[in-house]
Amino acid sequence: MTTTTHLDPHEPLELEATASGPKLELLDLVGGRWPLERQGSAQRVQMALRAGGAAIALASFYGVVIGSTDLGLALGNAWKLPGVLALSTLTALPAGLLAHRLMGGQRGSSNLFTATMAGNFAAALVLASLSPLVALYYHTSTLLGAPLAMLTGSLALFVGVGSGIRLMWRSEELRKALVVPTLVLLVVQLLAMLQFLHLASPILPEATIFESGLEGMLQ
Amino acid sequence: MIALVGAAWAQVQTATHEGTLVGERIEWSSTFHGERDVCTPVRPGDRVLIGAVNDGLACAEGPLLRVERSQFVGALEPPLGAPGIHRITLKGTHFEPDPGLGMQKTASGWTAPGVSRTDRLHFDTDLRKHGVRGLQTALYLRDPENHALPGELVQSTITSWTRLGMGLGLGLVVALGGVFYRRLDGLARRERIEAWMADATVRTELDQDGIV
Repeated sequence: MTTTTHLDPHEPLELEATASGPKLELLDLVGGRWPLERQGSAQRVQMALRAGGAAIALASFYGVVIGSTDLGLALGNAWKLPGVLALSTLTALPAGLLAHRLMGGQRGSSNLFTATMAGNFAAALVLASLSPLVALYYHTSTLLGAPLAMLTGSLALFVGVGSGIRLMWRSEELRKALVVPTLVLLVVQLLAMLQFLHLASPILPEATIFESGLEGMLQ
Repeated sequence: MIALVGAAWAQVQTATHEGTLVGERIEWSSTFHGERDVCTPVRPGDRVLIGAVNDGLACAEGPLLRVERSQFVGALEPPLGAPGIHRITLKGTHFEPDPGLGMQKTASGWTAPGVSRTDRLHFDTDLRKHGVRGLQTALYLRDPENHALPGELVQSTITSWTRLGMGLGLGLVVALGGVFYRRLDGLARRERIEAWMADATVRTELDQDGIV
């Protein structure tokens, strides 16, 4: 026998926490699952913001680790890598959301936002989880530190993109008009990321191909 | 005499050369550190602030020697020649050394063969102890020969203002994200309550129909 006997505004929070667990929501996202079936757009955007905040913190941690051979570099990386991630996302989001609308998407903007932030979070999680390995090689090998750091960066990009796309694919609203907004988001974010990496250089102790931005890479 | 000079030269451990671009000239201010009397070769026109000149050699009776030099823009010509590790920094411009010098680019600038990362770290740590910032881009050389360093002076498009703008942008994104998150709190709570009520209503109806 279940009846709606009391409506304490705090009660639903607890009920929801038992359903999914607010802290596990983000890990659900990384696993390609939408945490709640009947999640409203405000809840989704809040969850996306939490994912974005976590991604910024993890990117900062990774930045400090890969710059740990030089104090100045480590301190700079603490804000440079989060800056690259946050600002490139901010640059790409308007174009992606506009593309979604232009493709006829009436609803689902919050899903697109969430999927983007979840992709960032997944990428940052990969970076942070591999940072001990990168730090180990940076401090004990003269040759392998930088290649390993770039390899983890590429892997993070791959996982982030895959995670975002998987989430979008599982959203009814986004699946219908998936290809174009995803491509627009990806291309704009990657272009912005390359240029922000150029602005933020140096990030690694060694010179890399990314230091001179897209212009330098094409030369 | 030569033996004495040779012995004194061997005492030079570190030298810092700070160049400032002023119009078409680079003004050098060089400081040599050693355990005791230090010397370096100088040329006519160089100003020796601490120490004295004798036969083209500036020497100080102590662990510190200071020399100033002025040159026209071109290859870098700080007063090199003394043994030890030399650190060259430039204000107002950046220097890209000629590839023929075999210098390796690092996060802290350029490093010549023979200068290890440990050498650089020790040098910069020592500088910081003397109140000199060691975070700027620098060229590190070991036992350099006394001639100019070929390369190119370049004006970077990335200024500290650009980086400051990027940092402020990040701060703004984080702050606005936080504010937006707080503003969504009420709406999100309403969504939770509505979802909960819908669940409860469905459960009640199912219960009344005898399904549950």
